Amino acid sequence: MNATITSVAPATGDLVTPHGSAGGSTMALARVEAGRLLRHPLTVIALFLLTVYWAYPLVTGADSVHFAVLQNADRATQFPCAFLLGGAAMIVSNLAVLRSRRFGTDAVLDVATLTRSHRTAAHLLALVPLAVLATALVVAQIVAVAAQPAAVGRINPAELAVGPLCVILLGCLGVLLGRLVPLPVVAPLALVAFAVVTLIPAIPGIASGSGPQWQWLFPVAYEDHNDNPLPADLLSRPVASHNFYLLALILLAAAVSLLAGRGSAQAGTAAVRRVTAIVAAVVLLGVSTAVQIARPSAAVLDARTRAAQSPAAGQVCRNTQPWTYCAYPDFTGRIPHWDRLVRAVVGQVAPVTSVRPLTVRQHVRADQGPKPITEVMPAAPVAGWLSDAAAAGYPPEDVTVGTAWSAEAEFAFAASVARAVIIGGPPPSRIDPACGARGVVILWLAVQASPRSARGLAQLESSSSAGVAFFTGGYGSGLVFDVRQLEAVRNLARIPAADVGARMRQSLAALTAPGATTEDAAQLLGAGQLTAPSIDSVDRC
Amino acid sequence: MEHTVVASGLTLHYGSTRALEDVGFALRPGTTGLLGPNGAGKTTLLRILATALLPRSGDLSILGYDPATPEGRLAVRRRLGFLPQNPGYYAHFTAFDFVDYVAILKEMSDRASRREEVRRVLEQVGLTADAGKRLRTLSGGMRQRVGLAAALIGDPPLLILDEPTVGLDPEQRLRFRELLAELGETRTVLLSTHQTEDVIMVCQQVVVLHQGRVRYDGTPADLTRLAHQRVWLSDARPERMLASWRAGDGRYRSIGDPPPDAELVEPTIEDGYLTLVEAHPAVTSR
Amino acid sequence: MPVLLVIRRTMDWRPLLLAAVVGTVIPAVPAMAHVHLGAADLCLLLRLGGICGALGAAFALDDAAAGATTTVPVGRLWRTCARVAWLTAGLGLWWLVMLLIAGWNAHVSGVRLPLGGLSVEAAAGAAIAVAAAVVALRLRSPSGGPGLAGGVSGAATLLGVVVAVSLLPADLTLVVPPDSPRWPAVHLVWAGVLVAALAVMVVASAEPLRQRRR
Repeated sequence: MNATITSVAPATGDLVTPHGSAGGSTMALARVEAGRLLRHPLTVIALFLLTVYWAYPLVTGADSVHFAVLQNADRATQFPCAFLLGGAAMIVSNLAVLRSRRFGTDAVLDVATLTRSHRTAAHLLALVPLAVLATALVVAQIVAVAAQPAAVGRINPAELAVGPLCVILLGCLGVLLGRLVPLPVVAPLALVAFAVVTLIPAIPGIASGSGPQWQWLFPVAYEDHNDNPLPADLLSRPVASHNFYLLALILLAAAVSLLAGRGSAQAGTAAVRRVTAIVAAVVLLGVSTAVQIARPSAAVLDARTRAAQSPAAGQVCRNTQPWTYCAYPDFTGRIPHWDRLVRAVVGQVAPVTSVRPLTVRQHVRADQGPKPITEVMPAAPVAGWLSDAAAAGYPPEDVTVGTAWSAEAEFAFAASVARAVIIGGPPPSRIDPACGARGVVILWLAVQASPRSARGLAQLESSSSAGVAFFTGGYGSGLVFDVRQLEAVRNLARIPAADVGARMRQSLAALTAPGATTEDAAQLLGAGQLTAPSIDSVDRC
Repeated sequence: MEHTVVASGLTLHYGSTRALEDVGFALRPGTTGLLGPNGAGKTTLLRILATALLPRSGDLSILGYDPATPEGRLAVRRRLGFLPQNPGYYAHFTAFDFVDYVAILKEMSDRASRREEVRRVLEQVGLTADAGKRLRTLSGGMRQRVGLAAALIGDPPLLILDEPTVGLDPEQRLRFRELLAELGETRTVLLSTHQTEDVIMVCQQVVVLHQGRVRYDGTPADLTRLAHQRVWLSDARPERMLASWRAGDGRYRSIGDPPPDAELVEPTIEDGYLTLVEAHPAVTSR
Repeated sequence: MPVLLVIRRTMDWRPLLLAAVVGTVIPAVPAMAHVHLGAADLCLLLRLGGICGALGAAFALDDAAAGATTTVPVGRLWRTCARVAWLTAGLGLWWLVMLLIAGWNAHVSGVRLPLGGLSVEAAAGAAIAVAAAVVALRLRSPSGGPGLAGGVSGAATLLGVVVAVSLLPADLTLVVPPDSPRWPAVHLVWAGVLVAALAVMVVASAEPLRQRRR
């Protein structure tokens, strides 16, 4: 002991230092615990992982972010936020509650002026700053995504609140578990259980499109329509009542953890307040549960059917001389991008003004609701669409386009446009073979439309073994190309595009004539000898 | 001076084990030592006085408050510094953070004044230079001083210290006695210890607890006097003594009735304590 | 041998027991509900169950009385080895039950599960958790204090590895479905991880040659 012991101030027999109220001290303790929660290595790592996970696609300009559909992107913030930050909150707050027990300081804490319930309250309050930080991260992410020029759709703030609410809820569960079971292994196990339970609705066949929506009982309601984003009006996500449901769970967990354990025998009013809180939470829980699991309303189911089968009346159309684009109101932001692709495809074939006007219409298989697509995709009701458009006073569509966008979707769109220009006629209702020379021309035009479209074809090729096919809007409608056509286009890629384009325009009539084979196209365009085996049915139309 | 702690008839049983039986004493401002063999009930008594336990029966007044009522308990806790036997410590906290944490638990919500108070008590126990070190890196004696600093937070008029000198080296113990002596000038300090020298050095009053009962309550000098004319030095091991042991110089030091060929020596407080305790040999408590 | 028995009694088996129960429930619920699941989903369930077991294993090395046993004649390496041996025995028994449940699930769903590869993954996960716990106990537990840092650090490390692995891009992922052509290669990596974690365990358990700086 090298420091000297200083003299002691005389005691006045009463308190020397000013003492605050229990409430003020609880807040002071909450501040200290919040600081420890935020500085804990687990929290820091979780914040880092979440930031990287969200920043990486933004920085690299990934298609999933570039062409974000905001009514899906807002929901996509929930699971990463809940699992990473909520998981950290659960484990760290559980450790904080168990700290006195693990390190044997209960003897000191038992005679502290602040009671056990005050300390529990401080642990609960300490979650608020992390939840605020989570909110800031979620908002920053969605703002950055919404700022992408090609982003479409609508953000629902209630969806954004789910992640931060889950952070508080999981943190409260960590506190509660700490008060109930004095083993630190419980929180990580509960986190694994949370992950398992949240993924249950992702199992095919569990989620239902029109029955009771059980998935809303889980903190993060898993609903998958990323393959075919629905217009926001068709979603029927009771997320506002889900927020109240989460609030009720938070209230319940907090009230039970304040009641749990010894040392909570308190003055009557405090106990009454807690019991009142539990009753209120249970009532809120019941009401919000009833609202959120209710099957979608008939109006929504009707609207979904209409959007799928006869969308023309509900869509917005724009004319960009000479072409017409019709989209669901949320998706009109995609029209300029479609227009660029159409001009790129058509411009290779002929001067834009000399081509007959085309109509592009968007479709999505909305009538099945938020259900993962597992069964074989049905044929597109093209005949119904055409009569629907006619009834609404629009020209018949030449090209259908889905709601999702990616490199593969861009290739599919470009190929559909090329099909309309080269072959014409109504869009296919099934997967049609793009046969013979026409297929080669369509494929080449699609690949030429944009680098992203070429990348899309490469992705399709890498995930399929013989030939490639694409689908549109959740329907089994599109085109299929065989290996010889793909080989021809691969060979053409080695020749300057201007040369191929010139040859194509020169012999367009021969290339598009019925009966022209893949071999013919390869020769006319200069793709050389093809080595892949020939399949007669596809090689010729 | 007024009595600050008055206890009478305190009784507590753990199942069939009598931890305390009809314990009564009164304390004034100053330092009181609580002596007794292991299992005598010292820790139980100190926990009752620190409001961590309620006695089954008996009356207790601490600083004029009744700890049996919630209000009284809160009032006592606001004026109490308690160092339990194994205080425990958060290995990953710094000394400053740990004492600050305890200060918050003692309802010091104002950050500035609290930090000033933490610095004050850390200086009091000589830990200013080590305030920023994590507790896991501190030695046992330093951790003991951190626990003491936490007890001193708020400058409480009542200090209850359960074996505070455990783990301190002789020099640290000396400094600690100086601190205790200063604290005891105006405050009521009650410490339990196995170190009888601690008692003779700093305590004005000593209470000996044995088998759950108070066997002695008085001054250290009077405790020493209990062995007056009963401590002997002899070359051979004497028979039928209360206690007898071979000292460092090879002679036998014995307590009891005069043995043959023995030399009478001045008793120490330890002799007085042993006279008291050995006169009531341990019986299996029921 | 008596040392082995004594060390078994110093171990806190509650975390492992609890983890085993939670881990068993994960594949057992679909088994009892006769839900038909694909091979990939069944693999996922067994993997999640394995993570639970590994979490429990991390906490089985914590010893509130570590301070009292640092100087016993039985060295740190042997004490750790004895604990890991008991742990392996307990975990192994439990994993057999898990494999039986998984086998039943596969039978019900009419799929084949590569149980050997999944066992290697689970063993690697448990080894990561235990190795991290051993390292943390070595570095973070105060001399003469309770050895309680192991479980938390082991569990945190394991969860961190799980999250990091699940965030890996598709072409680098170490979690592949059973029909993936990368299955053998990925499991060589997992076996390597297992060996590396065991090596870390041994190195971190060796008695220090010099006194570490306080």
